[in-house]
Amino acid sequence: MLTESQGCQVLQRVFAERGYHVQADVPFREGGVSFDADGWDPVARVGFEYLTSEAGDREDLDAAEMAELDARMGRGELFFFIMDGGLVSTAEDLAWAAHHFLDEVARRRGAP
Amino acid sequence: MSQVSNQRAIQLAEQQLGELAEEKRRLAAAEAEHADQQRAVAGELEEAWHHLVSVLVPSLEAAALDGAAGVLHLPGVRSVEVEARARAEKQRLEAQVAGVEADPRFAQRDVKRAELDLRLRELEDYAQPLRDGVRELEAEPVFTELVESGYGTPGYAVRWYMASYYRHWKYGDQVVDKQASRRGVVDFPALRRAYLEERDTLAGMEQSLDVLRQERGSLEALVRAREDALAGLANQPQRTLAHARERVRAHLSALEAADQAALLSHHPAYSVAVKRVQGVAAKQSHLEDIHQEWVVKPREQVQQVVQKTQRELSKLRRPKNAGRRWDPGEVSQRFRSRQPQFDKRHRRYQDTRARILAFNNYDRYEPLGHLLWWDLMTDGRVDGDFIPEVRHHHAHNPGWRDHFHHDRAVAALAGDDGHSGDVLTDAS
Repeated sequence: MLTESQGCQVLQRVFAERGYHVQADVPFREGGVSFDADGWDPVARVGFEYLTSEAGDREDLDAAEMAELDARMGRGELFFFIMDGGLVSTAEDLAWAAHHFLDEVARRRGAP
Repeated sequence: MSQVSNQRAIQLAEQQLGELAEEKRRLAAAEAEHADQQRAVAGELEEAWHHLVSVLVPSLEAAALDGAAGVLHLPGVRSVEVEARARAEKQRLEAQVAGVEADPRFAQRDVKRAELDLRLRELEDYAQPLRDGVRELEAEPVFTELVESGYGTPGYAVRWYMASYYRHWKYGDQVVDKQASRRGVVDFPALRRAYLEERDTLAGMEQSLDVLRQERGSLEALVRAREDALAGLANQPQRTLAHARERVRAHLSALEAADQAALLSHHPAYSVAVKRVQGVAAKQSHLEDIHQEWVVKPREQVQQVVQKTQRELSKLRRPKNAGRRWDPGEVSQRFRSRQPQFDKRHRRYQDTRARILAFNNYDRYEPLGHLLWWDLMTDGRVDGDFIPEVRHHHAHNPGWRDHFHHDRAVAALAGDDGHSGDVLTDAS
């Protein structure tokens, strides 16, 4: 099982490969959502958040905040890849998942 | 007198630790030997009891039972009581046999057994492939989670931006590639449906198998109950006799030694047998007494000296003491050899133990006399005042030695010192 730190490294690498400029540990404060994002590209408005008990992040995003993020992602305003912690066992699996997530983001933004 | 160097003091302390370690080993060996011996003596005690109750109740003859009941003042072993209990027991066992034989399942047992075995085999033949298939799918990575999350169904609620969504996707595809075609399906929803159907069918079969196995088990229990009852009827006389003897033993065990002797002293065979029981019990008890006094207590003392010497040795080894010189009297007193005391105590333990073990003339004991088992077993040569019973008896019977010498003279005239060999070398 990957640790949060290892997982974040994998995601940083994949997002960079796909042309995103992701900054680490960025305070995200928009609307009713407030948390420290593990990775966030403020220009592309794409990021990732690793939810594990390791960093105590589970308390950072409550159900209401998740619902708001879900709605905003539905409208294409922003995109967060949410690692619902402890479920990814290898770096390869995580990279595979991140690439498919970013494919979907591109599709939703109408990329050719 | 010249002072002792620190180096010399260290040597003496180390020598003492070596001696103490050797003594600890010797005491540990004695401990193990004692445990073996006590097991052997416990066996001897069982034999002595068996002999006593066999002498008291030699058979189920009415005269034997009534004789024992009279001698022991134990109405429970009177022939009328024993026979009544035996009759009731016989009726109970016969009723049990009759009850089983009247049961239709017993009458049809061979047919029923064959039928149940056949049905079990047939059902197993269907169940096993299902069991294998279900287990195979459940052993696939993430498969159980896929089923529980509703993956492949309209109820699947994991959002597309969650990592687990992709995880399910990846492992869902994997399991379809590996397992779907052999089940004649092409996608996960169909594979899931096939799995759930197999699992439900299997659960129903497992239930049916359990019912058949229970039925089979209760049939065997019925057959066994009859066999047990028949065996009980066949060996009833032996069990009745054993039961009567157990009652006698329980009755006597609850009495003080003097009361046991008072009941049985008028009959030579009983008297000899009860003395043997008491003597072997005393042997067991005194072996424990000397073990506590000369093995257990010394082990604790030796351990205390070891700890003290180790503390002192570590002080002597401190750099600041390297050049110091010590008072020779103090050093030789502190680190003196205890070997002679250890050897003496060990000899005393071994000699006394051997004498107690060798003692076998239980008939020399007089229940109301002035000598204790301890005196007889040790031939009056070992001070047993560390045993409260011995100390008390000797304190209240100052003339016990005279009685002892008289007893020994009588034994010598009879050519018997009460031991199987002269094992006591020096117990003073």
